[in-house]
Amino acid sequence: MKILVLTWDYGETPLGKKALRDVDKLVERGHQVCVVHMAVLDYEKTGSNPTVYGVAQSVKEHVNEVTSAISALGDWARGISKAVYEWGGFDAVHAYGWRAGLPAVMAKMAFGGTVMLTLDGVKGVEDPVGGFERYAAKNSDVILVPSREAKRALVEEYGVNRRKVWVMGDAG
Amino acid sequence: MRVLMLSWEYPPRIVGGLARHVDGLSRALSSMGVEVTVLTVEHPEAPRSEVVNGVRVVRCDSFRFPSPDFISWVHQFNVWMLEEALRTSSERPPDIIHAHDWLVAPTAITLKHLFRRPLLVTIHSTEVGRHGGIRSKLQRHIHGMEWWLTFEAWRVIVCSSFMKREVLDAFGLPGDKVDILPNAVTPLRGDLRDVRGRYAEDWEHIVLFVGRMVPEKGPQVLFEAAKRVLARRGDVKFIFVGDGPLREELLRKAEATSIPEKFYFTGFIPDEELKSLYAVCDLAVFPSLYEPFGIVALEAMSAGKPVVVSDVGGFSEIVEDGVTGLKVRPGDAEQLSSAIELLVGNPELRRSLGEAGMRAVGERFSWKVVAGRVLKIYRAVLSEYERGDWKPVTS
Repeated sequence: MKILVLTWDYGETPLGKKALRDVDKLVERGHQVCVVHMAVLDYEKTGSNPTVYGVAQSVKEHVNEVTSAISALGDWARGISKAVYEWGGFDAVHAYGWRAGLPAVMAKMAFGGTVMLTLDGVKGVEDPVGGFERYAAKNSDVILVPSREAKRALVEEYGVNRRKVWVMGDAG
Repeated sequence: MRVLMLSWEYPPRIVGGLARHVDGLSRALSSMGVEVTVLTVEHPEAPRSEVVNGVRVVRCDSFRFPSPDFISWVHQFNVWMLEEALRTSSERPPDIIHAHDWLVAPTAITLKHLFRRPLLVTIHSTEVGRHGGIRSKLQRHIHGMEWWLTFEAWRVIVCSSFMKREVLDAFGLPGDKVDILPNAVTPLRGDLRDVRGRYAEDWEHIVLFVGRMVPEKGPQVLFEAAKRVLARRGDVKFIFVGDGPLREELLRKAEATSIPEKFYFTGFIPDEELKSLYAVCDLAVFPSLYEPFGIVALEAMSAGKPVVVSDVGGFSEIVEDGVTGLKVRPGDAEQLSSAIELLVGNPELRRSLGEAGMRAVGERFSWKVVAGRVLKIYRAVLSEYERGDWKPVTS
């Protein structure tokens, strides 16, 4: 299976470390993996499994978390474009966190495939970015969360179909 | 050729000159056989999807949940704009993506990379120019978005030599990446009936200002010039069309004069009313301190009216002093008052400037002329694109 992994951090934060561990396991099990993540500078690690495309955020100064996440969509698209046209496309996208969830949904709309979203918690509708997290969750096919409380929040606050939410002990 | 035009403004959402520009350009391109889709932001008085004069217009959501401020709202609608573009264009992507200003940058750049299609950008003004520099975090963000959009663009279009210098300085672009194409107007032909009497007495000359009531457009300069004119003659009425923070301030100042009836602040008025005002005014005055292009001058000229403009930015390039209008130093109320008095007292000069201005609009600033030049740029970009290897094919 060809899996595109989108993660803001790749190894630096708890969610980024989780992404790194998951990628190692997927590779061990014989899957082809391409990772796109935010980096200080653009770089490519090709020719082995996983392929990694680091993309730098073009706009450096932000007003809030929303402007940071959404202005990065074009940077994500630069990496996804490489994954599609140079790495050769994907069967599924696995996004870590809501900020990677948005480009994952866009990638699915453009190229098809299924989207799995791992969240390390649920921000809720009152949070300034909660609307975007809900959007990413509602448009994903499978969502992995670390607790039953997070699942309850997804289902009750965001209106996400409970059958696509899975509680995984190490999801966060 | 299929073109996807991205703009946050499109009629009936008219905030500044952008909506009319995208509308005029899209219609003209469509009449030349280009398949144009305009993707814009919803408006309560417009359908979500329609075909207008051959142009397909698609309006995306703008507000699915609250945004704390304008900048967050802009980023929010980009997500819905992108969703709409992917929903409607993924199966048959456009040949060219043409974005107008930074407000659609996330959508434009994302589509460019996902579709691997060339992106053209028109920069109508810059944050640096609008504010005379970059000082706050918000301005740095917007400036960054503008830089990014021009960096990602295959070519950048600006409306004047003044704007070309500004984008080269602001974004460090190579000069040969930037094309200068003027704005254009659809000739205004207003209805004269009943309008004049609503604004002025028969014996009064009407001096018209049209623009946002903000310092950069100079209504405060015209107000000072008007006081000088009115001190010398009483047969002039000054009409300020437009809204903005200076409207209330100037209104208060006018009421504090002994002749408040000589000033009329209309606020925003519908297009039809504006056309009629252009038709009945004696001259139009645009005393901007900063002006990337100055489409209002073209509107007045297309109505056959003489214009007085400040010698700044795009106005300097549009108006030929003494031939198609009069130029004055920006911010100089005394010189402006002299120019107004010269025209008010000289109907023959008003007529000759007005006629020459109208001819210039037809020859240089019609949508047919400008869209033809845009089409040439599209073709040149597609030709380069076809020869390159950056394409939507898997290796």
